[in-house]
Amino acid sequence: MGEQDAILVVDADPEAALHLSDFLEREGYSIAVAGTGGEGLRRVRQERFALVLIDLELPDIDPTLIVTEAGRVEAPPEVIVVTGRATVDSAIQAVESRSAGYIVKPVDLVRLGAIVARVFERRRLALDNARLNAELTERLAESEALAAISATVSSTLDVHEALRRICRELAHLLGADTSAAYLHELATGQLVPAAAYHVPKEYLPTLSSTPLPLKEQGFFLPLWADRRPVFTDDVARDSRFTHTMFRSFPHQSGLLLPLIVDDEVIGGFYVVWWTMRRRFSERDLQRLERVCEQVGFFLRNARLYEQVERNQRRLEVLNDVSRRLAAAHDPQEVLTIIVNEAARLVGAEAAGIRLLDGDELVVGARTDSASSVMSRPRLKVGESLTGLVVARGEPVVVEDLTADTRYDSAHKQAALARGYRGFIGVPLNAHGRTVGTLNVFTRGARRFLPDEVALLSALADQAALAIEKSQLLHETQEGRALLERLSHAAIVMQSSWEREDRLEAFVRASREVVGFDRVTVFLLNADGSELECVTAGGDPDAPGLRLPVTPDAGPYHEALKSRRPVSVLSDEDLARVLPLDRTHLDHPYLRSRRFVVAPLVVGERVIGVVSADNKTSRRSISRQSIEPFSSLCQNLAMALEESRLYTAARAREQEATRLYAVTRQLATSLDRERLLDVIAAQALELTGCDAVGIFFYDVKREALVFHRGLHLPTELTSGLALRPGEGVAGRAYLERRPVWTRDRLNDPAVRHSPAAQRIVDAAAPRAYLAVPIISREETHGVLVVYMSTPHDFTPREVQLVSTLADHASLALQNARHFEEMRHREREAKTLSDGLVLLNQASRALYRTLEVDKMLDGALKELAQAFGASGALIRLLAGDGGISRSVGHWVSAGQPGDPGRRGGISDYVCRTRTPLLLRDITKHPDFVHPANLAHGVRSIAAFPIVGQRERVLGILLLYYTTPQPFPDTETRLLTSYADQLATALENAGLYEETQTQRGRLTQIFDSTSDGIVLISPTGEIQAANRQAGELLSFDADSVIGTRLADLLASARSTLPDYDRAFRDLEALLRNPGRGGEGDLELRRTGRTVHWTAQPTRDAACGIVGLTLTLSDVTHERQASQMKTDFVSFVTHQLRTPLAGIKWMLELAAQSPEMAGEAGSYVGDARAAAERLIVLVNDLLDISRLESGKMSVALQPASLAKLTRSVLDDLAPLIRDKGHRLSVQDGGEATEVLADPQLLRQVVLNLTSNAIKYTPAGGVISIALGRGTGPTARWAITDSGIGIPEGARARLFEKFYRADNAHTVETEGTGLGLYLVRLIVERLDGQVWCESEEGRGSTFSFTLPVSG
Amino acid sequence: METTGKRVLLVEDDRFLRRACEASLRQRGLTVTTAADGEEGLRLARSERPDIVLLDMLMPKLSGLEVLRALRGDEATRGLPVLILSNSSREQDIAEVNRLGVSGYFVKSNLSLQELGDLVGRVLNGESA
Repeated sequence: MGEQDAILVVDADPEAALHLSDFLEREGYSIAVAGTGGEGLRRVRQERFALVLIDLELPDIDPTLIVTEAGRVEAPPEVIVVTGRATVDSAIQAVESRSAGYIVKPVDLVRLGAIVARVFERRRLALDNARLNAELTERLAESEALAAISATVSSTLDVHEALRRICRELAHLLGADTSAAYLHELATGQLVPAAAYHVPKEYLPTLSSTPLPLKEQGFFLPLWADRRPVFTDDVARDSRFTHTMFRSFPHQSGLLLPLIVDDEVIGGFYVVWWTMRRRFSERDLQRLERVCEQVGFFLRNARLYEQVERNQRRLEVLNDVSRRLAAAHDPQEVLTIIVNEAARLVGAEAAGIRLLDGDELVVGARTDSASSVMSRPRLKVGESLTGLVVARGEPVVVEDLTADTRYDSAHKQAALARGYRGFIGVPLNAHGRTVGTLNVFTRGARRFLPDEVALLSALADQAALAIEKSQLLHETQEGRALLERLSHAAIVMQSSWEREDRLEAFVRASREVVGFDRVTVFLLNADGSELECVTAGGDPDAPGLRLPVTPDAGPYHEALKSRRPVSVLSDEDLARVLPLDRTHLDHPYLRSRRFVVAPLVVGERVIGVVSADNKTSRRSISRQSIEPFSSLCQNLAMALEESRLYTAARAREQEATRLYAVTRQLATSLDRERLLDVIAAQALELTGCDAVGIFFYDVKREALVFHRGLHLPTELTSGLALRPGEGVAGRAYLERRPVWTRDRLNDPAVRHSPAAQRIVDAAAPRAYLAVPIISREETHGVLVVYMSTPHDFTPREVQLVSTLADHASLALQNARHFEEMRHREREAKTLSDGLVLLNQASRALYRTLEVDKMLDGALKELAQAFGASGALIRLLAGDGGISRSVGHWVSAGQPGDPGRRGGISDYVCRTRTPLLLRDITKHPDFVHPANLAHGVRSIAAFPIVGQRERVLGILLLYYTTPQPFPDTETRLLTSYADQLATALENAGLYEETQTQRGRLTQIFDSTSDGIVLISPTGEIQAANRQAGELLSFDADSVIGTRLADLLASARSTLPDYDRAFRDLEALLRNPGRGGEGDLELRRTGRTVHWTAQPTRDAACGIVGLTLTLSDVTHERQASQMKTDFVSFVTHQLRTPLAGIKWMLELAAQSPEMAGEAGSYVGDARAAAERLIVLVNDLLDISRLESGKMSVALQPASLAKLTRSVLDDLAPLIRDKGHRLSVQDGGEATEVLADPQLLRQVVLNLTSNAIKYTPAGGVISIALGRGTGPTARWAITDSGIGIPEGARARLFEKFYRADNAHTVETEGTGLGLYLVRLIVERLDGQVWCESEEGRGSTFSFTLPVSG
Repeated sequence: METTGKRVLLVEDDRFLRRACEASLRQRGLTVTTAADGEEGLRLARSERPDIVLLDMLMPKLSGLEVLRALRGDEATRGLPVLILSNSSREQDIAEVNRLGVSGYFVKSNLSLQELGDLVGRVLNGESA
């Protein structure tokens, strides 16, 4: 429990507060106690509480102030009213203050515990909801950010722009100030700034321009190897962030995220908080990893596009270069152009050409920058890297000269010494021989792409051609003219990218420039097994012609293998060349006896041959035409290769563009099914296949079953269920990799169960490719593309479909997230609606105290909020039977569940637990058929349990659709039922109090006494008719008037006004003591006796005064007469008594009075004394009883008084031989009393002790302090004691204990009565403790003086 | 101091009391003059100039209170010691006689003759009663 669980108890009564807090602490709550209203108010304002228990009885402030204040603070606590006044007022007050509960003192702790638990439960629900909402908001923010990143990245194919946008979205997502993207540069091993967002100008040079050497960074391993986010909330002191870049601009927190594309870390993001200390939980980091994953995925398209675009640009440059070269005739100029362009195209710092001169290599051309690395004028073949290329006749590619292990260091030494790390060398080939090399050098290490090597080879070919051309140039003038025409032809050939255009230009040039009648181009097919005729210039027989790449192809084969032109210009030539196989000689086209076959060579590869002859015109072929023709074929070969590359690049660009379109489409929708449709359609379009199917694994059927697709026969889509490992799709699913078959009919690897086999045989296409749809280690299903004819799936196609499957998995994942979020959002909404409703309903409950009206309003809102068709409450009567039902039902009438035995209500009532029927058709014995007839599908029933576990009723909700009844909803409704219980009980209490009020009013008015209720502040709260009559006021109009004011207005008619006023003041000051007195009313001549008693509530707390008034005019008159009579009589008695006494005294002194007569006189004197005491006692009693005796209070010493009494009684004590001791503790026992009266008390008690203690007994008197400011006097004797039954009546008038007579017959039964009257008159107390036969102790206490 | 021969005026309407009291005081050697009602008592107090007056309260003609008031109102008898011997213990009376100034207020039935004699002796000797 956190501090928000604390409970504040506001109660002015420390004992009650302790009682409550003790209990609640034992229940595990933390408690704060406020002893005053002021303190309560302050603490409610300043601290946070879940609950406030407040007593309505606060002396200092109005408790509703606190309740109001509690409603105002942040996260307002619930309030439970605890009251000792179970009155209508307090009930209404509690109801009006919308308290969560109303508890009457003395507190029923079980009920309190239940209410408090309920309040906390509701509070926990609210907290849960808040947390759920916060989580959802967070998730929503994440999803939105991802969507934003997806959308933003999808809308650009520029990597840098994409990175910049990602930076922006990351900063937004993380609430960061700044972010930057870095890409790993292989050449330097550095992280190079690639994009940045929101970098202050002064830090631009630092943050977005400084490269970071990757391996030197402290975060290298976790970021690069573990691929985890790395963060610090104190950059300046973090040992991982030591590079000057991090230290040179003042920021507090930094976060590094790896940028992963195609499972390779290609860079990272650095996110910056300038001043905030930002930390990340493990959950945050997991989220970030997810974001990184998606970001990389989004970036892939852009990267792909960028690569393709770069290649295409290069090809265009190459084409341009070819054209420029064709127009250049100076070989030096050509070679210079080539080295410069080579360096430029590859992005290398240096490039050069060396040519074979004898067995050494000389510099043919070099870029200015290559002067150092190519400083040696001559190299041996095999020496250095250059020599190696020539010696091997194949390209040499070294990505990093320092790390390379393939080549001998001797070869690399020169380049390394001059600071180069990357190298490519391609051979220059002419007529099948290597004649030189084209080299490029890069300063940094480089990953060279195959495209780049091909590009350089093409340039090398251009260089070889240029050299050849220049040789031709030197030969003849005619050759020059020819050369110019050839150049022109080459330029024409390169004016279009289309292969057909280029072929056509070639054929035309061959005819026009070289002068052949027939020119036919054969190209090698994909697997290099056949030569296919792609163009036939002028021979209708040639199209479709195929030649095997075997010696059967005769001269064609020879040209291919030797890479040199084969010219048959004479019969000798014909005899020398390999003849064509007979089967081919049957072909009309091939029956030629004079012809030229030239190879088409691109760098290392031969791509085809060209055959030419003059069969049509039968002209002879000039030997001079061979060289230019061969040269033209070289041009064609390059042009065709360029065209092929260009076409391939275009195709890949289209593919990238299309994938990008797919991604965009996928990014715009979160609907799973729509996404799958898009993916199927795209698979169809991108691969050109005939049909597409998406299969998902069905856990129930344990098989892959069709989910979505295009153009598939229904037999397949509806009937096929493949176990993992079965068929192509099953294998792809099981093995988690792409699987395909060229032709299922001829593929032994494709096996099915007999059932599946039948369907496949009947409906499946021939070739198919299946790719698993995998996300996060989980395989969801398989994407399958179908071809109706046998088909070889190229790696390209496999890759494409895999990419689509990746997209599908990602999109599905996002869609699932979204669905999950939507679901949870709905759930949260239900919960929050529910809480709102609960509050609303609570208000509805408190708005009215009339049960039916209240329930009606509450149920209406309840049904609405929980989407129920009907809500019903069955109220139970005291005997458990249903007394009546209140509710809302969706249609007319009510479902007829009469609450029979075994029904829902009965069950809930018995078990006291909620009953949730998700589908009532499954509980026919539980549910009355009428429900079904009404279309009810689900029912939820909750017991309404009140105090002492009594079931007050049942809350029933009826739904016409099946309900899942989520946990939150059930908890809410349970809590709601509890609320209902409180409300019902409050309403019951209200009704009860209303009845009671009526009854009380009746009693109030029918009593003969006057009754006035006075508030603690002295206002009249109520007065009955009789009171009005007695005091001459209108009972109805004095309510609210202060009694003191009423007294003052009647001052003139009150002879004792001052005393009455003082009495009233004293009463109000200390209402607990109560009091009584008479009030003489001069105007009416009446005497009214008033008795004031404290008005107590159920918890015995004092809430005012009740004045009972009675007309005692007659009693007072009678009493006066009695007093007068007693006074008269005693006076009259005393005179003769004194006479008797004195005469006897005289007689006793007479010397004649001796012997027997003397003893008679003595007895007569004792009898007279007793009579005198009796009369005195009677007189005192009469005066004390009538209140006429005024006492003169003055300090009196109990010790002195006791000694004086003992002196008087000394003869008696001596006579009986008592041992008497006085224990004086020495404490101040000076009391405030009337000494005369007090003496009588001490005297009476002491003489009693002597009287009732047998001779020789022990008597002790103890003096000391009593409790509080009192003195205590006690006398203990070892006398006869007092029987238990007599003790209670001992101090009554005329009472004598039975055993008293056995000792002494003279007692009057007035002594102790008088003692009591006196002690009480002196504000003291007297009591007795005794054990019969063993003795008694009589004690009294009196207020001490001073 | 010797009290023998001192003169006591006893104002008492009850003859038994008057007799007993007179006898007892005489036995102590005091000179006793008696009066049976208030009027007589007042007259004797003025004429006889006693050393002490023992005064009853309820008496015919003039009550003890009226006698006392008259005595205190007269310069000649203002200082005359008076002991009130009453049978009433009414507080108003006690308060009133104390206000006027007396040497003591006693209830006769509560007093023995012995005690009375001692009291008179003490008053005559100028001690407090």
